[in-house]
Amino acid sequence: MKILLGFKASPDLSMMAEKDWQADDSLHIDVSFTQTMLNCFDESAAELMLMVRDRAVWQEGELNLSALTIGESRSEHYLKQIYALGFQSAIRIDPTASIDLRFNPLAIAKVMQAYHQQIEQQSLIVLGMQSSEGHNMQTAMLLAELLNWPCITQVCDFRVIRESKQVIVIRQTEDEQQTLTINTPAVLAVGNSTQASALRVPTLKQKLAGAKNSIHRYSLDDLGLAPQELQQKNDKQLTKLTRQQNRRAGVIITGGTPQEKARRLYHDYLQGRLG
Amino acid sequence: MKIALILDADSPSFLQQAQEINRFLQQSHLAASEVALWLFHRNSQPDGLPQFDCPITQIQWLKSPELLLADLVLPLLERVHQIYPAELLLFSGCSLGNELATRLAFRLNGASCLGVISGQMNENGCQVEKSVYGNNMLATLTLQATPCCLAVARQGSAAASTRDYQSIEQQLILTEVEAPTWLAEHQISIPEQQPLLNRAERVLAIGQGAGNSQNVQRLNEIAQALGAQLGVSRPVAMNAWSSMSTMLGMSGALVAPEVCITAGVSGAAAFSVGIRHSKLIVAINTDPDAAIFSQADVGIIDDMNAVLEALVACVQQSNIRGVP
Repeated sequence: MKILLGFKASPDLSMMAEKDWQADDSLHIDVSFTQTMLNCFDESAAELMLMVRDRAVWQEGELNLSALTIGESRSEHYLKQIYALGFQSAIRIDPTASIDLRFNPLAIAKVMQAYHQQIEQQSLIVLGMQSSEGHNMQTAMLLAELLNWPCITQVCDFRVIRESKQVIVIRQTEDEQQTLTINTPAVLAVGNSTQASALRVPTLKQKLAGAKNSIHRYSLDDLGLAPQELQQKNDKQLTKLTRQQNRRAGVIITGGTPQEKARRLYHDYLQGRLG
Repeated sequence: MKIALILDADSPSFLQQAQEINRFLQQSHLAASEVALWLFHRNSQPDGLPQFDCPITQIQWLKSPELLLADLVLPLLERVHQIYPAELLLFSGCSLGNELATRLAFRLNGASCLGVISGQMNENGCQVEKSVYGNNMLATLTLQATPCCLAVARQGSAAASTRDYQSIEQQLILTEVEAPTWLAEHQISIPEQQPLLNRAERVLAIGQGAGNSQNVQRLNEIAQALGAQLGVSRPVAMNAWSSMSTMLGMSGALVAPEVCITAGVSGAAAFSVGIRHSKLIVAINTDPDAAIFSQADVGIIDDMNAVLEALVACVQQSNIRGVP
């Protein structure tokens, strides 16, 4: 069974100062100086895949975990980490700089579809439900539509039944918890998962072993994709980007002790509103 | 232009979801000629239907399956769209609404966008506004293909008021879709109690500054003493110091209480979106540079536990004296 993780190395937006929130003439925000991070949903998705591996004794070649990212070379740091954690292959697809992928989940989904169809077919494709730049939340669903596969969203846990190759997926919606036993292929979009809230950290020994593996790199051309195929009429066009702030008065209450400050807070603001 | 509003009438938050659509309608410029309401329901139709900020011209009732999965209701929506070809389809911002908007647009060769705050239709297509970059920026996006399927932003709204739609044309569509072959088995468990956080008038929101699980338990007691519901930031929920149903923010609950006291919260934009519609926001943090202070009406720079314990004492003293 082949399971592919699709992830994105996101900029750590908490490192941005007020002056950094300036869009340039082409409506880009410079985030190149920030550190990158795996967003929380991608981390849970990767960890859930490792938990699938750990839950059963798999024969050689029976379970194959791989991870794919579309983006610049600095995301390779995470592909090395993925190798250290025991994934069998790590792939980076280099998009041409001329295409703005930030708000076009359909283009991202097409690249992943092309990887699946041209390079290596998968049984299960697992993605995080959302990332921090575009807030699109649509990549997994669009990939499922392109492949004509089912899409299970809001996944908080999943496991593979080794004998039947079926997948038990637990999804948590706003109103209920659903436990679905499904046949593959399928796309899973991982949401809030307390079972796998963080991705484990590889040991030094694992890192050294992982470093021997090489990252597979593909261009759009290698996948048989022309840039114009990724800019279709159905895609979204960014026309404006403005700073959004939510400032309030921020009056600071002073006092000699916490008790004194709490009393002032209570009498000046909260009396009649609490208790 | 024809608009369709699509909602799950069985959802416990049906009226809140309707109010979120209302907020979108209030903030948008849409020249609607007709507005249809497409409502999913399972057994009985609800007594009260939400009032909208635009006159509803017809209602279609769509029978939903026992297992509410997008795959099972999409064919039904495709069918209804054939009968009533709306140019703009508005969905709620819940997980089902997001999925239906995205996948229906794909199937109808239209365009979709989720988390939209406002929109306008003109000769260039549909322009929408939504929060991006961890809620730090507002993007204006143009969608050119039709139909346009939009899921509105979650806002933590109160419930929409209800009205009588007796005089309006109503149609019942009973088609049921067969279970898909990929689904072998399913089980549903519904929580016994809906989370109280969404409707709370007072919220004590705590962040990583709480330190550990034991202190979070203590803070829950403090919340009760203040007559408030406990809400937590993502790291607190992910450390399992508090249940997932208490999580606030972009991927958790969005609240709009009378008073929200944040304690030990740094004020990351993904968290703040969960409390920004609160009437009064109080921030307590030891770090004077924490972003939360500029998002609060009033702040105290000090140890959260000491301040909160003292606040409980103030409330208790007032209660003894009988002062409201």
